[in-house]
Amino acid sequence: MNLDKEEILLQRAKDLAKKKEIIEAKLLQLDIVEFYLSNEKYGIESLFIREILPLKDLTPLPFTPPFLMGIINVRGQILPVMDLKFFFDLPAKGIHDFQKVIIVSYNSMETCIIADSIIAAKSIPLTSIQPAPPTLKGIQAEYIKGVTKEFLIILDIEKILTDKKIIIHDEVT
Amino acid sequence: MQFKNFKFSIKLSLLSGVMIMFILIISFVTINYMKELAKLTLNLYEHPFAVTKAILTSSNDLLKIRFHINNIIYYDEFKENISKIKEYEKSFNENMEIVEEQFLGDKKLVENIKKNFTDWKGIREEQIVFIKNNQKEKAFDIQTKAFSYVEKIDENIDKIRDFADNKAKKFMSNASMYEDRALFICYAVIFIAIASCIVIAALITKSIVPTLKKLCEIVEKVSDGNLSLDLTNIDRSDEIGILWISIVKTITYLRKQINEIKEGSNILASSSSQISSAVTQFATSATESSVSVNETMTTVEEVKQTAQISNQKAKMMSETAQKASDIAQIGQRATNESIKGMSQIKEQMHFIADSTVKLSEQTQSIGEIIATVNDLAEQSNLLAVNASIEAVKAGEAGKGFGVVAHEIRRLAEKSKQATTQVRSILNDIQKAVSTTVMATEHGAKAVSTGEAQTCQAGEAIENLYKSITNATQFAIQIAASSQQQLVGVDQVVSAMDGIKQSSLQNANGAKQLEESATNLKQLSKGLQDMVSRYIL
Repeated sequence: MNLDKEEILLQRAKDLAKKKEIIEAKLLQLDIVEFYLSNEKYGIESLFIREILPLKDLTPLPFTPPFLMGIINVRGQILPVMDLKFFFDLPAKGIHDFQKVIIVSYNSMETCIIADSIIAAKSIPLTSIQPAPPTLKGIQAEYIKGVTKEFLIILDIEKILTDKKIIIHDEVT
Repeated sequence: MQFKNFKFSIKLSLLSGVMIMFILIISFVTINYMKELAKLTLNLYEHPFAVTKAILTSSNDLLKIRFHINNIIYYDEFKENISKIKEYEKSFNENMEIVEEQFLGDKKLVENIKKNFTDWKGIREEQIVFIKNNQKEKAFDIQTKAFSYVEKIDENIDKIRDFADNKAKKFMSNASMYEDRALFICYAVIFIAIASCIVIAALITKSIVPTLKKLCEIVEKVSDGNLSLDLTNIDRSDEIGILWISIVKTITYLRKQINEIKEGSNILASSSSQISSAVTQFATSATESSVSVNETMTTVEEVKQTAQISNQKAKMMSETAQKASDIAQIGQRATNESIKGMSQIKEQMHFIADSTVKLSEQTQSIGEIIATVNDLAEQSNLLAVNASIEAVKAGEAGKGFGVVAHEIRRLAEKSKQATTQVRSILNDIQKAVSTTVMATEHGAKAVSTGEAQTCQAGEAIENLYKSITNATQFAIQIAASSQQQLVGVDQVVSAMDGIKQSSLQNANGAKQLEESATNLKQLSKGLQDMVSRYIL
């Protein structure tokens, strides 16, 4: 009994300590939407997100790079669908019913990113964000804004959408 | 080819051939000479005798004619005498014809006679005419002339007769000469025939007799019992040779046979002694067998008693078998009922299986509903996320809305959790249902196997019942047959009596056999003695 009481008391103490931090962090917070890509947590800033939809009626396009899964019709608007797994060397699981599509927009550019599942929309303190580790290179380093302690990788949408690599301009001969 | 090698038939035929040849020669010669003689005789008859006879007759005729002429001349008796003269003239002429025909001498004599006769005839007719005219003197004158003619005729007649006589004498002498010659030839031939016959007979005898004598000696020795003769085959192919060879063969064969008889008699002697010993053994064994027959009889008595006991037991056994068959019948009924019960259980099991299948279908539909609820939760979660995004975009004004969106999201999450719980429960239920289905299937199988086993048990009990019934029948049969056995044992006792008697007879017979064996022994001894007479 004594031990239980001690544990409960310890837990309470910890909780109390956390609340203080949150209050402090509220001053500088970042609203993000958390999602899974092959069991890894990724995050996108809510400001860039237009909406989230379940993946339906994907039309694959021939003669395109592998990261372009195809196109979908969102209420009359035709949008390309990208799979970021190809950029981060993640194992491709293929398309399944529970996958979601996150529509992101920056300036006038709009595109869809596939997420295996949506975790939640939450706000995190800016202080908890650390820069990307130096082991990452190339695209991986370019597209990442930072990493939290909980191994949440925050993607830099601005860079992704302004990158010229994703603009496809090929002619089929 | 020597003469002694000719067969006897050939030899004898040779002899007879020689004889026949000689006889033929003799007969030929004789016949020839006889023919000659006959011819001579005929000649004799035909010529000298005929001529003589005719001449004599004609002279006689002459005399008669003269007599009748004289009668006419002297007594004028015409009538009878003329006819008589004519008659005799005719006869004379006929005889003269014969003479002329047959006479071997000078034919002129006959012609002279004829001429003279015709001349005399003319004179006679003249005389007759004179007489008729009564001129007797003239007639007497002519008479002498007539006599002269008659004398001439007589002369010639005498000459002819002499010639004929001479001829006859000559013929006779010829005949006697032929006779002598024929006789001589016949004697010569007969002598030669006798000589050759003697020679041939001597040859035949010489060729036969010595060998026959030898054979006689051999046969005499053989008849005395001496067979130890050194006999060489003879080089002869006639009957004697064949006889020799066959006698030699016979002796060899006889020797062989007597040898065999000797051996046989020896064997007979030994076997007769063996037989006598065997007969003695047989006699003793016959006695032994009569003893053992007595023992067997006592044994059969014992067997009879045991057969009685077994008969009683068999009766008891048939009763027991009857009871067992009753029990088996009861068992059969019970198994039939259990088969019925098993089929009812099977039906119940089928019902349970159907119910569980329905249950599993319903849980499936529950699962579908849960999936729908889960889908709703997911959608509301997404909506909540979108709402919170919109709230963020609204900035400070959207904060309250953000909280609401957060709550909605939590609600959605809770409902999702609940659905997960319900799903897990449903999964448990489904598992339980499937295990139930499996269990019912197993149960159904077990029930069917149980049914089959009960059926088998029923069959087994039925077979048991049948076999018990058979056993009952057999037991009854056994009882009957044991009864028959009892009767049979009685018959065996009587048969054993018969055997006893016959064994006694056997003993008697053995004694008789002993006697006959002794006789046989004597016989063999006699045979041996008989054979020992022969010298081999």
